[in-house]
Amino acid sequence: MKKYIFFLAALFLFSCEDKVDVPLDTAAPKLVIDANIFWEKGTTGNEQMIKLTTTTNYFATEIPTVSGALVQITNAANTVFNFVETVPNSGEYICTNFAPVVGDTYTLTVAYDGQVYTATEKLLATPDILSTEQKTVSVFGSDMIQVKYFYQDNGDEENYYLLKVKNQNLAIPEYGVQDDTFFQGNLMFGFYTAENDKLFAGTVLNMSVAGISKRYYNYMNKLINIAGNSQGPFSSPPVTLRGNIVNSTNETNYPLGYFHLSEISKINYTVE
Amino acid sequence: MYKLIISILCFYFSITAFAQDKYTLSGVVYDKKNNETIIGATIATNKTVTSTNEYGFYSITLPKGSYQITVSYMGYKLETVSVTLDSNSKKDIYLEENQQVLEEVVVKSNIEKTNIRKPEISLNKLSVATIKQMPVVLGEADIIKSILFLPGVTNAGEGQSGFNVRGGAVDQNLILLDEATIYNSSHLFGFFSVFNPDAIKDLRLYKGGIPSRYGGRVSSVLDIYQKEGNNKVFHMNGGIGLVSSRLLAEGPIVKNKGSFLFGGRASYAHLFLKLSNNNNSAYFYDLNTKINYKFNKNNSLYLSGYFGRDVFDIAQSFTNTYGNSIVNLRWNHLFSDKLFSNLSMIYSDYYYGLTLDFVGFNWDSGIKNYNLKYDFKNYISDNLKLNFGANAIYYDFNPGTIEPSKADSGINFKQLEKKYAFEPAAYLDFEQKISEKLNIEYGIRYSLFYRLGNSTMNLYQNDNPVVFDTDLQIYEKATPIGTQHYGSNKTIASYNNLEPRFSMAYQLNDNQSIKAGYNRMAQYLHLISNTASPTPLDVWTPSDKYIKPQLCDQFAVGYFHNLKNDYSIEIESFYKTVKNRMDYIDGADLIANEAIEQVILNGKMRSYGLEMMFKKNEGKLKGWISYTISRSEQKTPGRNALETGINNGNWYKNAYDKLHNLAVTANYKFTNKWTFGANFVLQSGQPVTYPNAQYVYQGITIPSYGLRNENRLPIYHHLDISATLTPKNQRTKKLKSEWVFSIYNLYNRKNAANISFRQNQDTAQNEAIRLSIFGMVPSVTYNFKF
Repeated sequence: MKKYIFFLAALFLFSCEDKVDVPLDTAAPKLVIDANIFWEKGTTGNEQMIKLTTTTNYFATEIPTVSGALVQITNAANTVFNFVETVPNSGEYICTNFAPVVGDTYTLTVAYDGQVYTATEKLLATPDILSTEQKTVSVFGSDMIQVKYFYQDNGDEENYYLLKVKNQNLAIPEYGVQDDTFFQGNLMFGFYTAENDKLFAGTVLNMSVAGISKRYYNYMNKLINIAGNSQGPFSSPPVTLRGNIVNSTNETNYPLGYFHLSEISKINYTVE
Repeated sequence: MYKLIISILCFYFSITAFAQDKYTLSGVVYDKKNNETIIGATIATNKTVTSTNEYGFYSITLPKGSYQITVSYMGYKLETVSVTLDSNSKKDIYLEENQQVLEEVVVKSNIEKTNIRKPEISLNKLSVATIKQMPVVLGEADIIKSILFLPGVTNAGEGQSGFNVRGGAVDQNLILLDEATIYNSSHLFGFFSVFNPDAIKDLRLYKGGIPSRYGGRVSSVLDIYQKEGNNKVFHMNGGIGLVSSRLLAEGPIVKNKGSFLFGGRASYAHLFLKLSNNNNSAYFYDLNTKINYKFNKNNSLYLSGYFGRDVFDIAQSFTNTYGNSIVNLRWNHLFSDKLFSNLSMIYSDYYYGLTLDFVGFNWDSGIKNYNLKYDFKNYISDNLKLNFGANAIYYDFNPGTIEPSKADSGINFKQLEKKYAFEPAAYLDFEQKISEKLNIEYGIRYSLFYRLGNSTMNLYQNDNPVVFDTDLQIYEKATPIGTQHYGSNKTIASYNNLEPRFSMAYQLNDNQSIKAGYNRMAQYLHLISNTASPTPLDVWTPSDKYIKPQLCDQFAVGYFHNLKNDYSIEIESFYKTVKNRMDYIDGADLIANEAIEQVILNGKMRSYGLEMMFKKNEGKLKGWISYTISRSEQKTPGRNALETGINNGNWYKNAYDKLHNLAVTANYKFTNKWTFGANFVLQSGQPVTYPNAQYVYQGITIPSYGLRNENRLPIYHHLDISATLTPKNQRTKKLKSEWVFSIYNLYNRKNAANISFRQNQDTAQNEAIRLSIFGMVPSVTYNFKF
């Protein structure tokens, strides 16, 4: 919302945006563990992937991958699911026999370069996407399409959601988080809009919702803010993002990224 | 508090028992043309010098005899009055303006002279005339933009709201319009200030050495007085600009006794949008009113009002309204020719409303306060003046009412818990002449604060609403272990503070002096804002069990020199610390947060600097050069050895830290027809944090940041010029007019308002994007008066 306001104030007057070169420092590389286990509703959820990379200079075009790590998830019954880098130097560790159960507790272990990283989380449930709605509104003289997709909040508990929309006309997906503070027990929705040269009749949108924990909500909320934009007069100071994965060998050398497990509801929507 | 008042009164009676063989001359200094009272006019005899107070009143006590009294004020002819003093007597004095042509539109244009004698340190006075001659963006004279040219005053950047004084935050400024608190000084997110320059008479900015009659904010006091209105003849004046227009009417209700002033201002850029079939709008308007009536020599009544609103509307799906309103009823009463009093009843509020129709969400929030204030000024003798008084403010905070904006909305109604507080205070302040060379002002303010019910407070383990996760090294909200309800007017938390104030001026000779000042200030209200510049939807919150009052100590020393040919030099240095400055845990959510204590840590601020100002006060060429070198920092250490604090517990620069700040403003009267003005600003870029790495997570790249505000935006500078054309032969005409042509940012410098780092949505490549707000902006304004 803040971004929206600033956009408005700036647009109203004489602002202009241009690309500039800024010399940036580069911090020593850190391990990044992207361990999101999403069990798509209606599938077995056997095939899962965990990605290991490191940080690099902000303007670098190649992201360094991490190979030779030991990656596994253990469930409450001590069954070990191994994740293996099947394509060399891809940093993608794949498991084909993962057994997801809603409400079960899982532990992630990553061993790399003499350090052991661990995290423990519960696999969370996700509501179904029930319906969609499309509307056209006029903003500053141009028509913009708005799409909503609805899901039912569980009124008996505090819920947090991770929303994702991938527009086929854009190179990267967009994320959002929601909580049910003002919507307890009501029908909730994901909301998506884009410039009219990116969102028009025929555009396919992959939209999803996943139940997440309060801590992951906080984490993703910060992450989305950092990624979306930053450093405007109405933006808050950049934060240090700390996920839930702990380096049990050396606490101060913490990894980036998060370990999360949940169901996910997806829908492909074609704009009319 | 009652005890204190009684002892003050006893003190007063014991002092007045002296001074019998002397007589008192008192009265009011007026502008001859319209009977506006003149604030700060100098009244001098060969024995004594004094000045008029906020209501134009003066009082001097002299031994029996004949005197030549000279009365002076910038831009006015010196008035000399002969008085034979053989009894207490009253003498009102009428000053005539220097400028004959086009009074008031071009007006009294001399710049405020440096007063080397008064123990006023860190005080800047600006007349509206000076402000109106400075070129500004879009041609609109602007009070806040003008004070940014003073030493020690900055803001976070172009188009950002509020101002920062000596490294203080925006919410640490006490902004008073006719004594009423203004909570948000900006229109259109900082592009304009809320004060209509036509309705303003005078302003003072106290950056330090703040007298004890002011309290409640730790950084500065901006005291603005509205005009009373011409009580001789009816006048209208106004201006037509590119963005907004103004119209003001003033005139007598009862000639020479009562007058009214009614001024309005509105922007109309949105009308052009409407014409082009665009159903979005963004506009602001404000209204200033004042009515006064002088019953007799000893009693006057004033009623002031202000109402301003900003409205944004995007296709009815996003509607945003906010603004201030104030009403103040004041009664000036002279108990004797030595004891002046003013009783004020003040109401002020700030409202913020937002409707997001696509979500079906409606939000209202605001702060209201009721202030009863009684101030006295006792002119005890030539050498001693006593100011004393008391006030009490009752606050009513609405942090937010959330409701569905339409029937099919998924939003549930929610009233965030309202908050109430009471803030009484009493003060004593002495202005004393110790010797011909040494003048001092000293005082004390005793302030109290009660956070009151009806409210429910959360209770936490060990009274600790923020916990630290030592595994992940992050701060998190604590879960309340219970709640405690406080009934109506039950005290939830209370604080009190003694705030000593001191300032002195020591005259080295007729033209030079050194001054020093110290003040302690307490601030019980906090603006909950975690952004570089506050936004209109930031809410004010009172101190409570968990949020402690901010306490500031400031020291300042200065050297003041009036040179030949109306030049003067002011050099000051300051050091300021603030305790209990709140800082926010990483990722704190502030909007509609009912338990704000869960995301707040107690930190501290410090700032220090050196300010220099070189002024040319009179003549064809007038203006000043100001340069400030300063630092403003914040630090929030961990509360124990295990915690990291914010920014690893290190000092970090505030967003409005400006290491170097040079500002030049000049005005040249070429002929009676043409006057030219120019501004130049050169300052260090705003402190910002640039990413020192990136990584990929879930298909998007994330910038990674190191310590806060270690980088700076590029150097900020711009040059602005203006030319004022006053058509000839206006002396005889009733309608008087002028044209103001100006160009802001003459050489079209693309100053970065910010540089953002983002992943391009089309190419997926990372890029740095500079946002610059104003390029070169030409404008023209037409001002008139009849």
